[in-house]
Amino acid sequence: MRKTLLLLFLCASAYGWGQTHTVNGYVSDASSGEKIIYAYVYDRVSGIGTRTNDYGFYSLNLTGDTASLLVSFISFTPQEISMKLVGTDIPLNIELIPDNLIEEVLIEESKTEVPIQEESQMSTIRLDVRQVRNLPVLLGETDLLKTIQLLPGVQSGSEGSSGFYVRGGGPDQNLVLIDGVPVYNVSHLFGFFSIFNGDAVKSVELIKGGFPAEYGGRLSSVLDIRMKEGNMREFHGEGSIGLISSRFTFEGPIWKDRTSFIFSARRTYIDALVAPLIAAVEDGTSVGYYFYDLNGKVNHRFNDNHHLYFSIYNGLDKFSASDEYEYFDSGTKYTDRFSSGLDWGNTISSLRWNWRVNSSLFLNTTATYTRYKFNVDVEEETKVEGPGVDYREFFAANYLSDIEDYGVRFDFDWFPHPNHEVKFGGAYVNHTFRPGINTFESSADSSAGLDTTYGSTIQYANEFQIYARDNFDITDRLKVNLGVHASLFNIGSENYTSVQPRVSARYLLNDKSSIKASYANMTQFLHLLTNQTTGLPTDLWVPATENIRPQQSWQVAMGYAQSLPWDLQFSAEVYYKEMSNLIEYQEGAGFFLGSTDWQSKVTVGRGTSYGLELLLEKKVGKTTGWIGYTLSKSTRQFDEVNFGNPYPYTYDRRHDLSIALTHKLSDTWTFGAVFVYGTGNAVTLPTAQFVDVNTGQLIEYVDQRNNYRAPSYHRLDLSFTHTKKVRWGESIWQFGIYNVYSRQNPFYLYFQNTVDGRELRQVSLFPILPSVSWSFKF
Amino acid sequence: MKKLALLALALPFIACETTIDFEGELADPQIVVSPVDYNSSSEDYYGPYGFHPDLDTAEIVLSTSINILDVGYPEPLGDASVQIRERGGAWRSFVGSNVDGYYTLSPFQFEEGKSYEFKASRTNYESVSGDFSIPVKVEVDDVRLIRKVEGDTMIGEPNYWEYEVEFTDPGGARYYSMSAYLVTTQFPHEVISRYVITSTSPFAQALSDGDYYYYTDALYMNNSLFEGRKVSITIRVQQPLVPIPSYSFAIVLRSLDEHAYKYNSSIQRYNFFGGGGDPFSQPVQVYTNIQNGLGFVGGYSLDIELD
Repeated sequence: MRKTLLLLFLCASAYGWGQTHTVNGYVSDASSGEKIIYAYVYDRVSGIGTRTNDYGFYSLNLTGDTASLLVSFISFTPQEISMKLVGTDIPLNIELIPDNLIEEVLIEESKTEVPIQEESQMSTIRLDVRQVRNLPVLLGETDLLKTIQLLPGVQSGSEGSSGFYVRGGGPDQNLVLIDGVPVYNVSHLFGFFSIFNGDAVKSVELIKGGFPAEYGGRLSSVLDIRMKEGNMREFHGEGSIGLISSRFTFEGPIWKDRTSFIFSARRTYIDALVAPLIAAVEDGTSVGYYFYDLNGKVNHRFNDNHHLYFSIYNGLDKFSASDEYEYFDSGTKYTDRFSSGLDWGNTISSLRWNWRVNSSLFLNTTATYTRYKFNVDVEEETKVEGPGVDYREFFAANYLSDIEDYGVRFDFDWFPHPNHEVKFGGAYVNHTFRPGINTFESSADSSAGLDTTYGSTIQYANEFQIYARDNFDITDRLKVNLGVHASLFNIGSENYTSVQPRVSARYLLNDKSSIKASYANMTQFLHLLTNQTTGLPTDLWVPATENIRPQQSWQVAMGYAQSLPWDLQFSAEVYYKEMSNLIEYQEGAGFFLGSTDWQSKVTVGRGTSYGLELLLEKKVGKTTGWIGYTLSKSTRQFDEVNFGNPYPYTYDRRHDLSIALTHKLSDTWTFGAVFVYGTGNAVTLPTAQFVDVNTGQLIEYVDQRNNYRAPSYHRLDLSFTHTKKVRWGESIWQFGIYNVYSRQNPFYLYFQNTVDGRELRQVSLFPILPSVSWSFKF
Repeated sequence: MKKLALLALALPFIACETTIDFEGELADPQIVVSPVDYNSSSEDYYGPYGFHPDLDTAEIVLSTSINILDVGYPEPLGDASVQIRERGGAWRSFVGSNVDGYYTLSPFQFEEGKSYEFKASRTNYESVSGDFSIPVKVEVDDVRLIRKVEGDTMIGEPNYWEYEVEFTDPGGARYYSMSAYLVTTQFPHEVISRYVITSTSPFAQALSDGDYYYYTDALYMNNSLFEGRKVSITIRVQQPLVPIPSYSFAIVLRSLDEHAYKYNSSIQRYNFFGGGGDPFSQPVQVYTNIQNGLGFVGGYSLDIELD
C-alpha cells in the first residue's frame, strides 16, 4: 500500500516538474460579458493550444519567456496578445468582440477554433446557433433538434418530428442536457417541435461516439446544450412573432459586471387559431391545445474565482377537450358534461458554483433537479333535475406518470502540465419513478361512491458515478484522450455496477490532416417504453430491474479529418456499435394499454449498427453550412419478436444525405437552403392472406418485422432572411418555404379496401408550406 | 374571406393521401398447410393444432393464400399430392378430397420422440415441405386447488379458482401448453367444456397488456426460465361450474415441438390482439415452417391430470 501511495505521489509530482507559467482565465464576449465556450486559445510561440471549458475557463501551461496568444471563436474577431511570461500564475481574462460590431473582419484561416485535424475528440459536432437561425424551418419555428437531424449519423423520425436517432440508437439513448441537467422529454406538440427556445441557447454540442468519460447514463449520444447567462452590461431583448407561436427574451445586468439575468418565454397560439374552426363545427364543444416554455437564469460573479449560477426551465403541453349539452323534456332538465385533458412537461433546474481553485484547477459543482410528468384526466357528469327528480352521476379518472431526479455533481478541470488536460469528478442522482398511477372517483345517487387509487408502485433508485480522463500528447503527432467512467445503480435490493473504459486518439499525418480512432463502453440504467414512431408523451421512463437489466453498448470508430482550402473541413468516420439489453414491446402490445406491470409486455434483445459518415463543412465566410452523408445499417434482435430472428431497425436508413447552406447575399439579406434525402423507413406490412382452417379466421401474414421500405424521403426548404438595423435595434423578417416542390413524403402507410380490391395508401403531412416570421432585437 | 383565412390556418394540419405501388414478397398464391383433427376418435381434448400420438389418422387441410391486395376468401386446394414419412423412412401418401382440400392418411400412428417429414405439391404452385417431431411427453407431478378468489370488478376481472400445477422439465429447449377442461369422471376423455385460464407466473408467459392478464384457451410457454428444473406454476381458471359429483376437472399439459409452439402461440396472440390494423400496437406475426408455403406442420404429446 505504501509503495502504491509513493508511486502515485511520484506520478503526481512529475506533472509539476519543470518551470511552467500557467496563463489562465476566462474568455468572454466583450459586448455582453457572456462566457464563451470552446473558444480557442493558441500560443504561436510554443505551438500549444487549448480551448475554454463549458464555463469559459482556460488554463495554458507554457514554458519559455514570451507568449503570443491568439484567441478566437466563430463569429468573433480573433485577438492576439503578446506577453512576457513572469511568475507561475498569470491570470488573463480575454474579451472577444463579436463580428457584427466592427466594420471589417479579418479571420485567419483555420484559427477560428481548434482545427478539426487537431481535435482528439471525434464523432463530435458543434453547431453555430447563429447559423441555425438562418436555416429554413417548418412553419418558421427555429428548432435546434431539426437542425441536429441534418447532421451525418443522426436520423429524424417521422415527418416533422423533432425526435432524433443517433447511429442506430433509440430516442431514449440520447443524453440531452440543458446546462448539465438531463431532459427526459424534448418534444412539444407530439414531436413536431422541440422544447428548446433558440433565443436562449448559447451553445450546442453533439457527441455520437468516443464519449468523454464525464458523460454516462445513455448509449448513443450526448446533446449538451448550454443556455445564455444574461448580459452583464446592458439590457437587451429579442423576440419573434411566428405563424403558430411567439417568443420573447429579455436580459440584462442586475449589478453591472457582477450579476445578470436572462428570461425567455415562448407560447403557441394554436388554441386561438383553431377555436373559430371548432366553434364553427358544433356548439358546446371545445378543443384546445397550447404549449409554452419558460427559461430563466441568474448568475453572480463574486470575483474571478467564484461564480454562481441558477437556472430554471419549465415547459408544458396542454391538450383539452370538453363537450356539454342540456335539454328540457316535460319540465325536466337533462345535463351531460364531459371533459378530458392531457398535459405533459418538464421542469428543470440547476444551481451551479464555479470555483477557480488555482491557476490550474477548476471546480464546477452543480445541484440538479429534473422532472418529467404526464397526466391524463377524464370527467363525466350526468344530471337530471326536475319535479320530483334530482339525480346526479359522476365519474372521474386520472392517470399520472412521472420521473423525478435530484442530483449533485462535481467536475474538476485540472491542467497539471503543458501536455495534459485532466478532468475528473463524480455525481449522485436520486431517481423517483412513478410509471403509472390511476385514480378513480365515481358516485351516483343510487349507489355508494367509490374513490380509489391504484397502479404502479413508486420506485426509488440511486445512481452514483465517478470518472477521470486525461487528454494528453504522447508525441507531437499523437494525442490520446484516455478515461474511465464507473457507475453504481441501486434499486431496491438490486445493485448494478459498471466500469466503462473510454479512449480516443488522434494522429497528425501532417499539419492539415489526421486520423482518429475511439472506443467507448456505455451503460444505461433507464429504459423508455416507447412506440418508437409517434413521439407520444405517453412514453414511460422505467428503471432497470431484476429481470430487465441495464442497457449496454460498445462502439468503435475510426476517422479521417482534414482542413481544406477556403476554410472547408472534411471528416470521414466509420463506426460499429453493439447494444444489449434493449427492450421492445411484445408483439400485439398496445401503446395505450396500462403499464402497471410493464415488464410483462416487453421483450429484451440486442441491436447492432454500423456505417460510414462523411461531412464537408464550412463555418466561416459568406457561405457557410455543411454537406453530410451517411451510409448505415442497423438491426434489432429480440427473442419474442420476429421469432427471434434479426430484423431492420425502424430507422435503419441506408442512405441519408443532408445539405444545409446559408449565404450572405448582402448586408441585409441572407439566403438559406436545406435539402434532405433519406431511404424510406422500415415498416411492417402484411404480404399475403390465408385462412386458419381451425377458426376460419382470415390471417394477414407478415413474413418479417419491418419487411417493407416506405418510399424515400426528400425535401427542399428555402428561406430568405432580411436583417435591418433600425433606430431601436434590429428588425428581422424571415420568409420561408418548407417542402418547395411539395413532395408527398410518407408519414404512415395503410391498406384500404376499394371496389376493385385493396390498395396501399400513404398519408403525408406537410405539402408546400410558406411561412413568415418577424423577429426583433433591441 | 373568413373561410379563406380559416382554410389558410388549417393548411398545415391537412394530411394528403396517395396510393402507392406495392409488390409484396408473397404476391403469388402459396400452398397453406394446416394439420387438423376432424375425424380421429381417439381424443376430445381440443386445443392446439398439430399431430400427436393419440391420433390413429393423420389429417391435413391444404388451402391457398391470396395476395394482400386481393379482396376475397382463400380457397381450399384439392388435387394435390400430399406425403409424410418418419425421417429416413418410406413416404406414405394421403388420400385427398378435391373439394374441401381435406387429406387423410389412415391408419397412421405418430410416436413420441420421432421426427417426420412432410411434402405436398400441386400444379401451378410451388411444392412445399416441412419437418417436425413429436416430443416425449412430460407428466404433471401434481395439481392442487389453492383458493377461490372473487375478481376485482374495477378492472373487469372475473371470479376465478387458483390451481398450482407442478411438473419437471427434462432440460434442453422445450415447449409447453397448459389447458383446463371439465370432463366426466367415468370417461375422462369426454370433454364437457374447456375453461379459459391465465397466470401471472413469469414461467407461464400469459398474454398481458401489462396491467391485466387475459384469460385464454391455453397458456403457451417455453422453458427458458426453468430449464431442467421442477417448476410450480399457479394458474387461474375462470370460475368453473359448480362441481357436480360425476364431473372432474382436468389439467392438460402438452409438450410441443418448436413449430407447434410457435404457430399456436402466434396464432393465439394474433387472434387475441386482432392482428394488424391498429397503428398504436405492435404487429403480430404468424409463424410458418413450410418451405415455399404458409401454415405449419408440428406435433405434440399430452398428459392429463384430473383434479
